[in-house]
Amino acid sequence: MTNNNGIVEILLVEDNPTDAELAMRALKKSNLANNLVWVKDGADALDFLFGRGAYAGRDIGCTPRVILLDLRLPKVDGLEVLRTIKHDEHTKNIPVVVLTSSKEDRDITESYQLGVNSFISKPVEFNAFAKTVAELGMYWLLINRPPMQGK
Amino acid sequence: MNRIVSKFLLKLTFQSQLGITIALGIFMLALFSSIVGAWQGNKQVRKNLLEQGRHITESFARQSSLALIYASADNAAEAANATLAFPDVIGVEIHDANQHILLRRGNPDLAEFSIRLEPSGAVDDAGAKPVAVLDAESPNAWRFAAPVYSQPSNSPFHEEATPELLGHVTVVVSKAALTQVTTGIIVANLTTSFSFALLILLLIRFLSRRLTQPLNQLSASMGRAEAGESQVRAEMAGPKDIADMAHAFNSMMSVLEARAAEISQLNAGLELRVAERTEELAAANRELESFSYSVSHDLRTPLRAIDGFSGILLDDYADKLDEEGVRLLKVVRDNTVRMGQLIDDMLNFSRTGRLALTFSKIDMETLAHTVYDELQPFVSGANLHVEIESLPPAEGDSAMLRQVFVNLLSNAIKFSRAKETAEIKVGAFSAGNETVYYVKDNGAGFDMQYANKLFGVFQRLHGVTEFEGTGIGLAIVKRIVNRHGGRVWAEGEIGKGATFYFSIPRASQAQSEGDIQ
Repeated sequence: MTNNNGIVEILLVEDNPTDAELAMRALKKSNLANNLVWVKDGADALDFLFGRGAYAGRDIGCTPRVILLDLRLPKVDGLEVLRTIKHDEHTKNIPVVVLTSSKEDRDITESYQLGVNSFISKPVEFNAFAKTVAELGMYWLLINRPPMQGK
Repeated sequence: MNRIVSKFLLKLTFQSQLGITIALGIFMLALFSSIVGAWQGNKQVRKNLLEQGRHITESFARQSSLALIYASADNAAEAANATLAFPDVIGVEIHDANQHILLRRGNPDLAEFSIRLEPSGAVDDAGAKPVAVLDAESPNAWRFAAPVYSQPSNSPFHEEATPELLGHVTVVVSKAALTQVTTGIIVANLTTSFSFALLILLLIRFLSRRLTQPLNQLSASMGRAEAGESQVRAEMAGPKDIADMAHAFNSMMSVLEARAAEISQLNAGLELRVAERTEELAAANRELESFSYSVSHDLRTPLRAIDGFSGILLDDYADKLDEEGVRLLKVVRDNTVRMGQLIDDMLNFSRTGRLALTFSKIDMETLAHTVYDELQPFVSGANLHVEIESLPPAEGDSAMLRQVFVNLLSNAIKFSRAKETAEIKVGAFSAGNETVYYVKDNGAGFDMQYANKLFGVFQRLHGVTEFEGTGIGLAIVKRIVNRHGGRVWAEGEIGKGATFYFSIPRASQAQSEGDIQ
């Protein structure tokens, strides 16, 4: 899923392939899926971000513009991933958007306490879901201005 | 009078009552026995004194005959002196046959005789002996009189001679001895009686002390036991009856303490079991909630896939489907939307049961107005009149009560939109210790036969085509109101409208009950 120059704009952390496909399809329709990496669990997500395991040797200085994070994940839970990202100097500035089926207040509260940048419940209806994903991709990639990346 | 006495007696202790009764009794007895004794003694002494007086008088009469024969007082002087020497004799007189006083000694005048009993100088014809009689009596003396006859001589010449009445003598005897004796008897009797009374009273006092002291101790022990002191035992002192009573009290206390211990043990066990059951129940509840939550949650993902991929099918392959194929796919999508709504409602319902309530004073009137204003965009149809009366405040969770108004008002708007003029009224009244709020509409109404189904989860009384909705709104209202310690009910008639009531206790203690739900 990565392009040749190694630039990653979106890191999609989603264990459900259909949800991932629907999300990528929605982003693709808005031309936002060109530099998207999809990982299927929390451990993979951390490996990717910190250049470990399957991603050993990746240039970790090249951080994604936004991370779309599901909460119910195998191996390492979404909230744990969020905590690790926000506690690491290297990754804490990366905007993280929790994109989950959960509407539970506890999840929302805890996510914000851990420093999430946005919390979005996936609408069941595909049209609404596609619209939501497209809009948030648009916002974080085109409208939002991240801090300058220091090496 | 009786009442006063019995009232007075009620105020006295047993000891005082006993003392007073016995003292009175002894006093009466002493008085009575003194009077009877004195009367008896008086009678006896009087008899003796009279007898003595008569003897003295007769003997004086015999000794006075010579003096009268010779009309010489000197002859009788010795006899008079001898007579006066008797202790009670205070005066003597000798009268001759002509009633002239021949001799007078002592103070016979000291006594003023008001009663003359019989003529003096009665002659005993038969014996010619001087017989003394009680001649007169005064309060403090008696006067005896006796005739004096000439002495029958022993000479043969005067054998047939009849005694001749020479005169008579009187002797005055003082009653002082009698009075003295009577007084003496009375004083002695009274003194003895009172001494005995005193002795008996002292004895009674001692005895009743011995009786009442353990009684008092027993009653003090009972008082301490009543006040809640534990291990109270009475002292086994005093007479047998009292000791028996103390023993009975002690046994009773032992039994009571054993029972109390048993009860508190049972209570502790019960509390423990209740706590265990509550914990189990709460755990089961949590499990159930988390189950229903995760089920709802997990259902959403495949649902999104169905909707998403059927949507993609419609988007990308529309040209390959005929009209019926497109319609069928749309039915699939409509139903996924509906299922999504059901799942969302289920999650919401589950949430109203899990969220902790934060109680505060809620201005229900403002809340109703705010909710109605927010619902304005959903008002369709012609004329809608909403009247919100003045509503008393309620003690409750503001977000939850807000949801109640949202559900009830949106229902009212929804079910009355077909009316030409829809009328909705929000009001309240007080009933017992709770406030009842109601939302009334003139809409579609319902059949009272199904009133019990209104508040069930996903229960609907109207077709989906007629009125949209999943049937969760009233179930949420019921759950919220129940968690506030209140009740919900409804009245309605088909075609004429419905009224939904919910009550909120004035001082809500619903928090604890609500947490288990």
